[in-house]
Amino acid sequence: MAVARADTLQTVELADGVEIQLRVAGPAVRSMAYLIDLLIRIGIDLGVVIGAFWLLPSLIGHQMTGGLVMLFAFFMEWFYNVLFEAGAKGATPGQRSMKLRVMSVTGGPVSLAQAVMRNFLRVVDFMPGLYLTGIVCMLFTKRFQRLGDLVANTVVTYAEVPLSLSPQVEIRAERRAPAQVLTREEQAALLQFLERAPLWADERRIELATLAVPLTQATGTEGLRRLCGMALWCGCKTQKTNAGRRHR
Amino acid sequence: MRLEDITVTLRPRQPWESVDLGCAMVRRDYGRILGLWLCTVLPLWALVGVLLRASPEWIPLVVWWLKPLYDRVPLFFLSRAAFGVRPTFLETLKQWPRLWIANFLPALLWRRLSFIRSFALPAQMLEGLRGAAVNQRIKTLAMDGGGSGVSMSLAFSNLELVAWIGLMLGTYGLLPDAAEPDWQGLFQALDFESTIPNAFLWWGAACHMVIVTLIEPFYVGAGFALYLNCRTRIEGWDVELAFRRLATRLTSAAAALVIAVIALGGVHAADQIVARTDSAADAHKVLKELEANLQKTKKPDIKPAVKADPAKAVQEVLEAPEFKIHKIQSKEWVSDKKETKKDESNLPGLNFLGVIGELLFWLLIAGVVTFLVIYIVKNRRMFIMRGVSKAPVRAPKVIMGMNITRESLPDDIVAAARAAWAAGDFKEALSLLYRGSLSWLVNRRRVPIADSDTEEDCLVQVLQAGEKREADYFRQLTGAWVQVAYAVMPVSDAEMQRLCEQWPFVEQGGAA
Repeated sequence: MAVARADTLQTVELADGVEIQLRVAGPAVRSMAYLIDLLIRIGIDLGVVIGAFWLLPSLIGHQMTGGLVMLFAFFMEWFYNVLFEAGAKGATPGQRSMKLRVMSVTGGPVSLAQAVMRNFLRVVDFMPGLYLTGIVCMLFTKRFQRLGDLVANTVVTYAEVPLSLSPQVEIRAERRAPAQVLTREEQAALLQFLERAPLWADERRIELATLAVPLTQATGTEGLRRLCGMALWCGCKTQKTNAGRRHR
Repeated sequence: MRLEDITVTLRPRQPWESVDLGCAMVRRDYGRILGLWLCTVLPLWALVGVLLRASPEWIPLVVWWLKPLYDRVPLFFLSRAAFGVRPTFLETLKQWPRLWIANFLPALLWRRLSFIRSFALPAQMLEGLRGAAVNQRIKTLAMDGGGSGVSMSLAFSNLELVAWIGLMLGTYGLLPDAAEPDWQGLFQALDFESTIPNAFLWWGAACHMVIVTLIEPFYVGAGFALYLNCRTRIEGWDVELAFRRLATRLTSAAAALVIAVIALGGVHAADQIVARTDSAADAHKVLKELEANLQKTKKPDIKPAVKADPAKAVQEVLEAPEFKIHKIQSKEWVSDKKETKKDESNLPGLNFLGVIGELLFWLLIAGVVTFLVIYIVKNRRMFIMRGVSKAPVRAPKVIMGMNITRESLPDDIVAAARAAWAAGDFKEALSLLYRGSLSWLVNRRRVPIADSDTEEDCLVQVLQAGEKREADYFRQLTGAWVQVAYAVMPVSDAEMQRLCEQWPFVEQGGAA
C-alpha cells in the first residue's frame, strides 16, 4: 500500500463538509517563539521589580511593595499568553515575531475560553520539568499539538500566506492556447514555471521544458518559448476569471 | 532516484515550514528509525561507557561530540523512504559501516562545530561529491538555506538542553539518597569531586542519552527537509514532478487515442467489407476481428492484478483511508453490585447505622408535620376568612373623648340608663345610650368611624353603612344627645322612654 505523502498542510473537515488546510507550526519554531516570550516576560518582570522597589517603599513600605510585585508576577505568568492569544492578533509578541498565530482547529480565532484552557494547561505540559511533556507531545502528534492544544482544540499556525515572488522580467513569447485541456494542477505548474524560471539557469529551464515535449511538440528553445506562451495564456485566463469573480 | 516516487509533498516552503516537514517525515517512520538507532548507536555508547567508566562526567560531552556519526543511518533511511524505496532493516544495517567510515574524520574534527551540520549532511552524503566540490556545493546551498539551518540548529539544541534538564528534574525524586549530590556542600566549597556521587553522573549521562535518542532523529529529518526545500526552490523539483506527470498523462492519452482511432478504423473497414461481401461467413469473420480489436483497446483499462483477483483489488481499495469506518463507542458506568455486597458482608455491624438514620429521618418528618399542624391550628384566624369585612378596620376605642369599649360600659346599658334617668342625671343616661350604640356600631357592625369624627360625621357614616332601623334610631338618639350635652335642654320623659324601649343594639334572640 502506498504511504500517505508527508506534508505540513493538515486538512481539517468542517461540520458542513468543507475542507480547510491548516499550515500548522512545529516544535522548533514554537520553541523559538516561546523563548522570545520568556525573555520579554523576564524583562518586564525585572523592570517592574526595579521600578517598584525604587519608587514605592517610601510610600507603602517594603512588605506591601513585595506583595504587589509578586501579584504582578503572578498575573504575568498566568495571563500574558491568555490576553494576547484571545486578542485580535491571536498571538503573543514572541509568536508574532516568528509569524505564528494561535487558531482553533476549525480555522477560526481562539475564544477566551480556549485561550484560558490551553494556557492554564501549561502546568501539565511543563511536567515533569521544563515542558518535557509538551515537547514530546508536539513531536508525536499530527498537528504538532501539546496537551493544552489537544484539550482546547487549538493549533499554532503560520500567520502569513507566503508571497510568491514574481520577478519583473520581460518574457519574449507569444500567448498561445495549449493543444490539450490541462488540469488545474498542470496549469498551476505552468504558472510556477513562468514565475520561477528567471531564478534558474538556462540549462535547467530547457531541461524542464523538454519534459513537457508531449504538450509543446517542440524541443530546445522553441519548446521553452511555446511553454512560456502557454503559461502566459493560463495566467491571463486565471486573471480573467479572478476579475470576473471580483465583479460578481 | 525517481522523482515520481517521492513520498513527500514538494512545494517551495518557508524555512520553518520545511523544518516541520522534516518532523512529519521522522514521525511517520519513527519506530524504524528508533530500531536502527538502538542497533547502531547503543553499542557505541556502551563502548564509551566502558572506556570512560572512571570519569563518567565526560560521557555526555563525548556522546554529544560523536553526534555526526549517529545522524548518518537515520538520514540514509529517511532519504530512501522519501523517494519511495523504504529499505529494510537488514539492508540499512549492511550500509552501516560504510556510512560511518565515510568522511568521519572531518565530520568529527573541523566540521563538528558547524551550525549547519544537519543541513549540510545530505549534500555530503547523498550527492556523491568529494573533496573541494563538497565544500563548494555546501556553500552554494547555504546561500539559500544557511541562515535557516543555523536557527534550526539553535532551536533543536535548545529543545535538547531543556528536555534533558526536564527529564533530570522529573526523575530526580526517584534517586536513592546515596546518588543525590550534597548541594549545600557543593555551593559552599565548590568542590565537585567529593559532593557529587558517581551515580548521579551516570544517571545524568543516561538521561542525556535518552533525550538525544528522542530529539536527534528529528534534527536530522529537519535538516534533510531543509535541504529538499532548498533544492526544490533552486531547481524547481515540484515543477519537474508536475511536468513529468503531465507528460505521462498526455502520452498515455495519445496512445489511447491512437488505439481508439485504430478500432474505429476497424469498424469502418468492417462496414465496407460487410457491404462488399454478402456472405454470412465473411461477416462472422469480420465481427470476430472487430471483437478482438475492441478487446485490445479495452485491455489497458483493467490492470492485470485486478483481473487476476478482483476481490483482493476491491479489498485494497476499501483499505484506503477514505473508506475507513469511524465508530463512536461510549461506555456507560454500571455499578458493580458484587462489590457492594462484599462491602456489606465485610461490615455486618454497621447495618444498624442505616436503620438509625432512617428512623431519624422519619422522626424529623413527623416533627415538621406536627409543628405545621400546631402552627396552623394556633393561627387559624389568619387562615379563616370573615365575611363581614375584608378590609381590616381598626375600631377606635375613644370617640370624641368618650370611651366606647364594651368593657367600659355596664352589661345592661338600657337598665343603667333608666337608673341614671330616674336619679335625675339626664346627661349620664343619654351618654350611656350614645356610647353603647357607638360601641355596638363600631365593634359589631364595623361602621368606619374614626376617633376624630364629630357627632354629625358619625351620623353620616351610620346612615350610609348601617341598617335602616338602627340608623333611624341612631339619628333620634344623636339629636337627643346633642340637645342634652351641648344645648343643655332636657328631653322629655316620654322621649327617653321611647329611646329605651326601641333600643335596637342587642344580640338577636338575646335579652337586652
